[in-house]
Amino acid sequence: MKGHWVEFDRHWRDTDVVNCQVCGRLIPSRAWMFDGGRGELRSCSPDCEEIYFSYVEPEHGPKEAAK
Amino acid sequence: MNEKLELDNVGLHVLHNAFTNIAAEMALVMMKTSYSTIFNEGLDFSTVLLDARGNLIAEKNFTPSMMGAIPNTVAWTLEEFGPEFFSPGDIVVHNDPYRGQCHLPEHMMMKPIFLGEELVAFSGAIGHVAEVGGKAPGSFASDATDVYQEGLRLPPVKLMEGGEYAEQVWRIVLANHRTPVNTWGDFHAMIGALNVGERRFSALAERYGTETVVDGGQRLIDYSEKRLRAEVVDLPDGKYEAEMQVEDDGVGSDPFTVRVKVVIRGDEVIADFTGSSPQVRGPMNCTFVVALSAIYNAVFCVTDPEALIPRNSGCYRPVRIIAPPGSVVNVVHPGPSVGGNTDLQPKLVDLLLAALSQAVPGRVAASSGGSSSNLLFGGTHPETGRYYSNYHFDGMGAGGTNEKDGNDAEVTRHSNCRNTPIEVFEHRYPLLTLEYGMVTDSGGAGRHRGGLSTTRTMRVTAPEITFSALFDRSRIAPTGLFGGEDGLGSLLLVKRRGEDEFRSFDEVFGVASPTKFTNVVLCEGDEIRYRTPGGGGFGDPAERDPEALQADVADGYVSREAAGRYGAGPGPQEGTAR
Repeated sequence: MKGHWVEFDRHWRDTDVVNCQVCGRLIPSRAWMFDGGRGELRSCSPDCEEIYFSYVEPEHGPKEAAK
Repeated sequence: MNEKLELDNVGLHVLHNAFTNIAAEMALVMMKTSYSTIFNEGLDFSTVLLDARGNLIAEKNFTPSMMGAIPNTVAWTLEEFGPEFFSPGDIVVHNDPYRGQCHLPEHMMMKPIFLGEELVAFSGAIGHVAEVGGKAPGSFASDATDVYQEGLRLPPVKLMEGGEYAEQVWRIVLANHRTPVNTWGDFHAMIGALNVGERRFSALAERYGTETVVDGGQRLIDYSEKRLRAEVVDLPDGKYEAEMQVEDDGVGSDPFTVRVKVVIRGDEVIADFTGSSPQVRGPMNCTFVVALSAIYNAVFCVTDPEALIPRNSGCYRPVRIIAPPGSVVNVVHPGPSVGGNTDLQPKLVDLLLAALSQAVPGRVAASSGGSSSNLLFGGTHPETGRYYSNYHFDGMGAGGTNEKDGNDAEVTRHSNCRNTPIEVFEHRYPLLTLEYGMVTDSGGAGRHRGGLSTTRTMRVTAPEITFSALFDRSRIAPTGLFGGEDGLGSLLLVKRRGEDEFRSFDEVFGVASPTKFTNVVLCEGDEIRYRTPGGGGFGDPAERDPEALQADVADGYVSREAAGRYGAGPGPQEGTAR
């Protein structure tokens, strides 16, 4: 895996919820970031980098980068 | 301390039974001590043990719809707050649909189990709390357009701190639920279950040693993963697609689409919902964990239908999901979701089985009724003067399978809930049941027919009751499979006092949908009649065993007229409906 972990720096009053761009899962406190071909994607774990390159990207094409 | 327990196959079996019995005892506590019929009669809850990272060790899972939520709720709470968030005697409650819950009524409570200074496990209880506020009594607003109309949302917060009431949180909760006495009782039933789980787990650790019990839990998880992967390997690799239309979202009248591609590759299964409709305005959206429960459910149906593999987090590892955020299978804030759990989830299981029918046609079923047929009501009870509210459901037909007819009058597929006996129902609520039975010809014809649905007629005995409903499968019937016919759809009717005929709710009250509406006021003497959906048939009806068809006609399951759909007909015996 080529990605890296990024910890969220969030105040308790921040009620936003962040989802994995690959599987849709909640990302509570830290994201696994990796280059998905069109920029960096925000995912929940290295497993999602693996499934992205082994299934999602070949099946659906590259995803847009995280905003 | 302590008996020696080798963690060989025999020892693991002993430990698995011990864990499962703890979860079962926790469930009994909830059933025996709760106030609401949805817990003590309906059994709409599950009780569990989890490890210190939130992995499921053992369950008494009455309702499969909760499978996805249970481990993720605890794991994500741990990830968000860290293990240091928990202290001995704490109990955390959580019903946030965007953070791992099924829908707003579902509340998960978790209690850390410490042995000495060390956090070693959690006891957990998850259940459908019957009243959590929002715009409709029973907290099931079928026309809700955001989560704030659905009730009180609790992110993970401590309900108990160090064994003491977190009074400020309780005050907020009780002030926002319409039936705070029931909430008090039901929450304490859950707390009691957690306390029993904590005590029994600690006693088990005392008996066999903490390391043995904790290590045994991990080995059981690994064992289940290995067993389930071995089952998946036996499925033919490939991509299997299916698509379905859902009739409406409760707000508009347009259908929406769910698409799935099930990919079997080696020892893992991927369920990819890419291409499904964007989340809808009404409450038919699923949360992420609800979609997850559906795929677990479908995979277990085709790999281990008799639950021979210990159900724990190991069973979940070979299953992967792709549920695009903002779609009907993964609602994002502030989308509503109360009906997604009860009325989209069972259809997701049907959809997944339809896809898997291409891989393992002998192991799947035709569509179930696919709607919990939710009926909600509340008001002031004329005998007690107190406010009451209830969440009510009835059984529907299950789909026929390769082996047998679909079960009749069963709350499928996402739930193993029971109905509430009429005697209990009438004692608690001002509604008189006039008729209750199964519906002739409601199961789709097939080599194995679909299960029969149910019908009920009730009369209001209070000056007024506020009703809401969320029924589905009224316009798009449960589908048959491999030549089997569709099941009969649902129906919901009302007869005003003094009138002779039942009519639809949209005709009488002008609501947008005949089966999804909120806060209709019925008065004393008014009657409500409904029919839940029947199951789809499996296989060509002409191939049905003539003796089975004759028995169906004799029992009133199939009318003589409908028996003609089976080709040969039922023979000489007359049918008598019952």
